[in-house]
Amino acid sequence: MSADIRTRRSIEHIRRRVASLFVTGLSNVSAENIEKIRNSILKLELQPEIVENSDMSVSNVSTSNIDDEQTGRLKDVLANLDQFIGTQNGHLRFKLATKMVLALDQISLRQINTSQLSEDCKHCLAGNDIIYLSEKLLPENHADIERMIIGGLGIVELVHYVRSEFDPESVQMSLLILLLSHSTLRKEVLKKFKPLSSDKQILLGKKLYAMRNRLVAESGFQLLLQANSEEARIVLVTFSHNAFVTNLLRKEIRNSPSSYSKHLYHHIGLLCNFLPDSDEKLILPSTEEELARIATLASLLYLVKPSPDDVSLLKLLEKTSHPVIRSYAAIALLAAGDSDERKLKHNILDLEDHVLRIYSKLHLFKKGIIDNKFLLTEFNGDNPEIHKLTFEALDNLGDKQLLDIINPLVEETLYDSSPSARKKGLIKLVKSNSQALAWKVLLPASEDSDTVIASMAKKRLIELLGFEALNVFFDVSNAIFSTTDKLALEVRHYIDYFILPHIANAGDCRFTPYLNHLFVEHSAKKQKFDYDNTIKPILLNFGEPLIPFLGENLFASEQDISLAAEELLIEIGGEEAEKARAAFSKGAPPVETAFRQLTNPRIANNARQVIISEGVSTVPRLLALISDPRYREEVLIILAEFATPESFPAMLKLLGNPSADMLVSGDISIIMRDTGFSDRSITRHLITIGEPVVTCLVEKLQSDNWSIRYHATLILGEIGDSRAIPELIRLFHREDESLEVVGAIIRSFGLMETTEAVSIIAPHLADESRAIRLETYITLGRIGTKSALDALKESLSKCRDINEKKAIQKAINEAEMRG
Amino acid sequence: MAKLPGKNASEDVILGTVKNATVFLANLSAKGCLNISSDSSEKLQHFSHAFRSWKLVRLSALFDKLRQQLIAVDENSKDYSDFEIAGTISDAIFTCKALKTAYKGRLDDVRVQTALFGLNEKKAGSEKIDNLSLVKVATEYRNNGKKNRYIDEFFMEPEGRGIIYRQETRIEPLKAPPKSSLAQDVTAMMIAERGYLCEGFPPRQIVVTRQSVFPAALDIVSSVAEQATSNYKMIGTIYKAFRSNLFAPEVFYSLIKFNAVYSTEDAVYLVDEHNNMLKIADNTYSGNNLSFLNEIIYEKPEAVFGKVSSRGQDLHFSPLTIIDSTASIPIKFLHKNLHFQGLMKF
Repeated sequence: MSADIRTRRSIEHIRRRVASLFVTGLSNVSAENIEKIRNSILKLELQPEIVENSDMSVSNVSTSNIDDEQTGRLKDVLANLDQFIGTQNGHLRFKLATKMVLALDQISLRQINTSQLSEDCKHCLAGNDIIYLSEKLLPENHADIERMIIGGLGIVELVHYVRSEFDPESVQMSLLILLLSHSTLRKEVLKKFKPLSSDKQILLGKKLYAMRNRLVAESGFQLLLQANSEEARIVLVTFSHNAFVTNLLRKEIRNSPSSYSKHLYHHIGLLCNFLPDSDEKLILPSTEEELARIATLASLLYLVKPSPDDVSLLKLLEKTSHPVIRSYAAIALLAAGDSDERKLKHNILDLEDHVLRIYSKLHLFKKGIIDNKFLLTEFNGDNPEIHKLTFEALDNLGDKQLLDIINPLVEETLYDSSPSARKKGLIKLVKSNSQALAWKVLLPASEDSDTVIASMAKKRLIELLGFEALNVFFDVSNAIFSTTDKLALEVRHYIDYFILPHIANAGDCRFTPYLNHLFVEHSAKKQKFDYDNTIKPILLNFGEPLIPFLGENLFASEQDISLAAEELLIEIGGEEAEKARAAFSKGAPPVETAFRQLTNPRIANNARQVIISEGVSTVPRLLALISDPRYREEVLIILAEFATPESFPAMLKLLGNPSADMLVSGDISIIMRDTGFSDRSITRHLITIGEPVVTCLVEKLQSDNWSIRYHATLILGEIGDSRAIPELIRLFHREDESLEVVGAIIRSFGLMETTEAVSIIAPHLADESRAIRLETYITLGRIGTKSALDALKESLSKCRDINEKKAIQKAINEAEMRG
Repeated sequence: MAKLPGKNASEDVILGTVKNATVFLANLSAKGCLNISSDSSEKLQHFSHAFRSWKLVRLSALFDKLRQQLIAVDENSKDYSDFEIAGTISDAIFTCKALKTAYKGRLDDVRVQTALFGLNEKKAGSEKIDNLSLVKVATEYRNNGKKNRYIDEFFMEPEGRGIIYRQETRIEPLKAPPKSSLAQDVTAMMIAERGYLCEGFPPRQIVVTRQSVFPAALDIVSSVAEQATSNYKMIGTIYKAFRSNLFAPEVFYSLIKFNAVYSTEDAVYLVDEHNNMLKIADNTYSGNNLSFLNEIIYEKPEAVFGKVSSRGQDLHFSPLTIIDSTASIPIKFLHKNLHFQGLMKF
């Protein structure tokens, strides 16, 4: 225990004792108890560490010390204790006891210190330093490592794991194994081992390499490779124990066969008690495990070059009773160029190693020892890995030979009557990377009656042949587009997103049919987003080569296609495009285009302008479009723009020929509701017609419906016919008239500039309703007679609202201007 | 000196009661505190009530505390820590002394006055606030007896010197706590347009009479985080200086940075750049701590706001908020997020 902690504990102890005086009662404190406290304090002061530490520099404050101030306080406590025991006065005792508690509280407070991390942990924190850890792995003090790992690496689970096994050696190893099993930590750990000495690396690597855990074994392998010594290679060969490790080793041996040759043969020789210069049979070990190990090593022999001694070992191995070892030995002999091929044929058929088997078969096939049936047996199973490996081997043969070998399989596959058998066969064949085979197999398959097979073949064709494959689809594109099969869609997706942008940049005209399809499909289905964002840019990029087929599409029966084609032509521009468009419109003026593009939201505005500038002569054509709901709104906007007496009948027709009376009588709202037309276009027409409808409108002022009276009033105001004035005045005086109508009448007076109305409406300058007051200001301003001006001025002087004042001032200005 | 609280009673009466209380405490200590009579318990309660009615907040609270401690001794005498009682008694004694000094007009330390009498608005309003920008860094609920519940909100200036301000809002009984105008997780920025800064021990209380609140920008959060203390030794020194005043509160609020987390089997520490450790949890595997540990281990926040206290002779830090301007919730209040999240993984 450090001096620091000891001091702190004693102070705490003293504090507790003094505090307990309160609880047990100050009046019955024994002298013995006080003596104990005093001794504790004296002991504390006599601590040698205290003396040492009190001289320490500021940098070392973390170790506990009792400074002068605290010593002073402790002395006070001692004095208080003396006084305490010397008196029986309860009050004094109480005073002294509280003093002591306070002093000890303060001393205790002074003892508070921030503790520091241990050296080991600091080291780890500095950069999770694994070298430090690995060096610590070998010494016995596992507690240190534990602490480092918890503190520095903080792997809580690790600690629990470590606790469960208490053997220090295994603790260290298990720590490391856990670190190495961690996918991200592993690389770091291995890097940190690099500066270790070769011996240490081999020692550690050997242990790890023998582990069953794949990642750990691989780490061991890497470590041994890092060591890069003869000893390490021996370890690599000797301790290879499972398929995974053997694979690693195989790669390594392939890279540098010469450095492993000796060790491999030596170790196998050891395992089967081989003596050079003896012709006797080998004595194979009896245990399965050892046999398996020999087999594993033997599977690597074909990679290395044997010495004459080794060849004799191989020959002996070839004669053993163990079939697997026999096969491998045969292959190694084959590789060494010293084999009896007929024996080999016998030996290799049962080989489990696919690569070796396939290559040996190929070797024998080349030598003419076996025919292609032996090779084709590889396709009997359903293991795609084997098919792939076989094709990898076969593809190297050259197209002609490959086709010769594979022909029976192709025949069998493609001409089977059952689609499922064909599909199965195709799945095997598509593993080939040979273009020749692709043409031979995939092209016919792409026209298979079964769409799945066809799509699969097409997809693979595109993968293999890229642009060339598209040529295929110029003929079959209908098939792609007519089916919704998932694979066909995938093929199309592939073309659209990967191939099209390239061909668009290349501007290859051969692809126009496909583009045509794409265009027609997307523009027709109104897949606006797809079309605008993906297809259209490609088409525009393509540009002029598309003009012929776009020209054709102008005549398409579906209007969307036609419109999109026209739009594209306009955007592509140029002489050719203009020609195409001219051919379509047969020399008609642009108004024809305008009519067609009226529903196209992108250019509707321009189209409308063109038609409006063309004038009233377009009205019959506009009327002809009424039956199409898409055009209605546009037509109405245009007719409203015309708003001439001539267009009124057209308007009426558009509205389904309502009676004039009904129209004027304010049933406008009903018509609007039924036809979806805006209020403005109808009132505008009525206003334009003017005089003929005045009588009718005046009659409508008698209506019971306030809405009718309101509309009629406003229209009459706009028409400005003085015949309406008496009736409006009469209506104005109606006692139960609604506010809206009153407001409308006042406004109408303003529009008609009715001078006689001034006296009638002037009282409304003080109306309760703000809306009415505002209408009155405006109207009086418009009328602008002297009396109106006076009324306004008077109103201005009375008004308190700043906004209303502004409105009145505005009206006065207008009146003065007119006056 | 301005008139001290206690308007319903003359100073003589108050001083008389204080004296009685001292005598009572002395007698209690003389006899010992084990097995106190119900009379004594009642008397303690009477004192507490009387002091509260005269707004002698500290003394009243101490008598309440002492009563509770003594009752606990009755029930379970062996387990109770003696020096907590001794501490309370001596605290009460010194508070009585300080009160006497104060009534004689010789107590100059305004902070101690605030501690004794609570917030006296007329006096405390001396330092005015004018458009002080503040970022809310933590919220804490505080119970003062059964009926008095408060929300303490802690603020820091965006580019200040690490000074922490406290705003206190009383929760009216039977009413839901006042809702902030901002969503819970939004980092709030307040401009205290008008108000005053009260005297007292840090964090000093602010009373804001006019304010505008809106969400804070991220750079403001990072400028708050930059004010964090990165040396725990400094925190220890400040804490000691702070607590050396008898009347200072037991906890001290601080914004700290950390460099690493160190865990042993029975405690978790934050480690600063100088390898000083600050204990944040006594038990690694308790639920509340885990949630916090997860936060700090996974998110490596820029700073942590919390309370520093001493347990035994160790400094102890109780985190309230995690501050990280790059996180989706830049200032995260931990008490809203205390669900168990499983074993921590590193």
